[in-house]
Amino acid sequence: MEPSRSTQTARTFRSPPLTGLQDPLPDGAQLDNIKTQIDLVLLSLESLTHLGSEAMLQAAEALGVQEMVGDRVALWRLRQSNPMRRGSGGRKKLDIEEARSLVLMSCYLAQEHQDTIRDAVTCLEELTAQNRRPYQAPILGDYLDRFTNLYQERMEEDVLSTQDLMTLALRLLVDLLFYSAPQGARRLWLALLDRATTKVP
Amino acid sequence: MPEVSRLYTPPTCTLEITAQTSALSRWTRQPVVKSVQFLLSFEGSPEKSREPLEIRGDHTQLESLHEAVQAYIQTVLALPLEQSSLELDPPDVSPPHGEMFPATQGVSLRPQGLLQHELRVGALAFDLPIISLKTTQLFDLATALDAYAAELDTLPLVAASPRWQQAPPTWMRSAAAVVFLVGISAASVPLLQGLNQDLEVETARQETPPLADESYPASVAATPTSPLRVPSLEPPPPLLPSVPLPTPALPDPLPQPVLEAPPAALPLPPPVPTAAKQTDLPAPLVALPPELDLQPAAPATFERSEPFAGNRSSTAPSASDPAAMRSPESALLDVIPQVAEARQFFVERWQVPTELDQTIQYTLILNQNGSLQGIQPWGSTAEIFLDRTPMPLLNQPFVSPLSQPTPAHLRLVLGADGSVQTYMEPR
Repeated sequence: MEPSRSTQTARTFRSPPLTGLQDPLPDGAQLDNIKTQIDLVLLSLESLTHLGSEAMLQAAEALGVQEMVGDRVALWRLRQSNPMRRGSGGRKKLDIEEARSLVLMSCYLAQEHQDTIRDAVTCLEELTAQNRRPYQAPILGDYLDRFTNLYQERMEEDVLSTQDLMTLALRLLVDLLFYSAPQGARRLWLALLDRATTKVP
Repeated sequence: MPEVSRLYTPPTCTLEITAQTSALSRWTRQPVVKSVQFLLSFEGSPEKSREPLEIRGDHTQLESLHEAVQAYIQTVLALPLEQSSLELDPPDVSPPHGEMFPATQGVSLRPQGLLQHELRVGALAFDLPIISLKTTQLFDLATALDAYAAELDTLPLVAASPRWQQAPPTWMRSAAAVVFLVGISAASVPLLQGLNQDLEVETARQETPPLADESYPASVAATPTSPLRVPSLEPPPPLLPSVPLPTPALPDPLPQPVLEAPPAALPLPPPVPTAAKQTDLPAPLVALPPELDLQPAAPATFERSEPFAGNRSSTAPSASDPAAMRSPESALLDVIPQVAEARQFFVERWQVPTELDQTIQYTLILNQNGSLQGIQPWGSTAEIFLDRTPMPLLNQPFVSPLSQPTPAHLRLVLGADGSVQTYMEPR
């Protein structure tokens, strides 16, 4: 009997609404950590795919979370809630609904750009297997340059060395691949909760 | 016996599922399968042999693999971003996180740097006890397993015969309940003509039992232990508000199922219940109370319950409210008062989302202090709408403390018509 073939990949799915959001929520310091990490995920996406605020707002509309992220100002204020942002100090208090929205948007966009993310990770695997540095591949070199520039432009100074920044960028890249799956939003949310008690670089 | 086959083909691996279609499929909307077998093959390493790596096994082993992969990915993602063990180059020694990656029935994974993962499959492949996966291979494996698990929602599993005798699977319990309900409906018809007694109403606006939830197999007609005959399926005439119902003879109680606790690292169990868990969890319909609500259009009439322990939201009844001092109406299966309290909680808060067009169900696990220990959505629809239910937070005050030391398992049934039903799950 010929099996029915299911060639669908993650791209044919849409991330379902989060299911882990009923868990106990972190306290203020832990929520700061979550703000930082969501902002870093979006920073990684921006660096790899060059997407801008327009794409994020379209994602918000597609996901029906315009109430949380209705315009560029609202998006900016949410991202400025990251306490590591230069000069912001977490001025906007990020509530849990807004965090949900940003998680959904991040994974929606990761899903939209899964091909690019996968290409970058595959390239990283090949270079590493050949003992070559990531900068030697254009897709990774561009990504690392842009990530470093955006990070240094937006975040507080003297937080991470260049090597640390590269390690962080590659870790975020690999994580993005798993966030681009149908289970991505849930994976990200649970990871955020788990990491909320740990220190972020 | 016809076979069902599914093939999942992400770029770097192929997962082939074969199973036999049960004759019971004729009674269900979705096929019922048994004797699940799988063949998982990874593409061969270019620098080595081109021969694919293959793993074969049965349903239980496939579930073990899926659970291990899911848990591993979540654990790795939750590692701090500066985690040193996830650097590019594989460490020379084993990473110091071995205890973080326990084996699931002999299947386990460990990181070998950021981009390599060591999959130990144990007895699944004696000649290949350890398989090295790249990150993209791990991603593809997880994608295939998730796709399989998602489809399993519509392909209810039937356990192999030895296990059949130990723990009847979900569809079988559902079948027994359907037979029971059909019998009840038929038996009610003649009784409606001559009897007129008050019924105890136990749910709010319950029109129909939650048979339509697509996460469960639909009705199955024949169950050997059922003493009830199945008459014609003509709908009964309109029922009077007060009609007595007989207490039917139910089949023998089912064995107590086991609900596995979620991994400690995860606040909630995976969103898509695995087949093994589905088999282990109690079926929803068997536990339906034997009495029926014969006031289909009646709105919720519950009074406020006595104040629950601990802090409540601002909408909670106050102690000064006279209505708050009365207990909510109880049902026959309100074995413990917390069942009615939970019902009261949701009756006051349940707002049907516009998009919801079917009943959704959850298993609520109560801590001894009355707070929620865990939530298990039943089916993908319940999972999707979880964040739009008034579900209380875990470990926050919910109902009064239990008198029993062990956690209690409640079933919550939220209807698209606004109805709310709770009852104890048989354990």
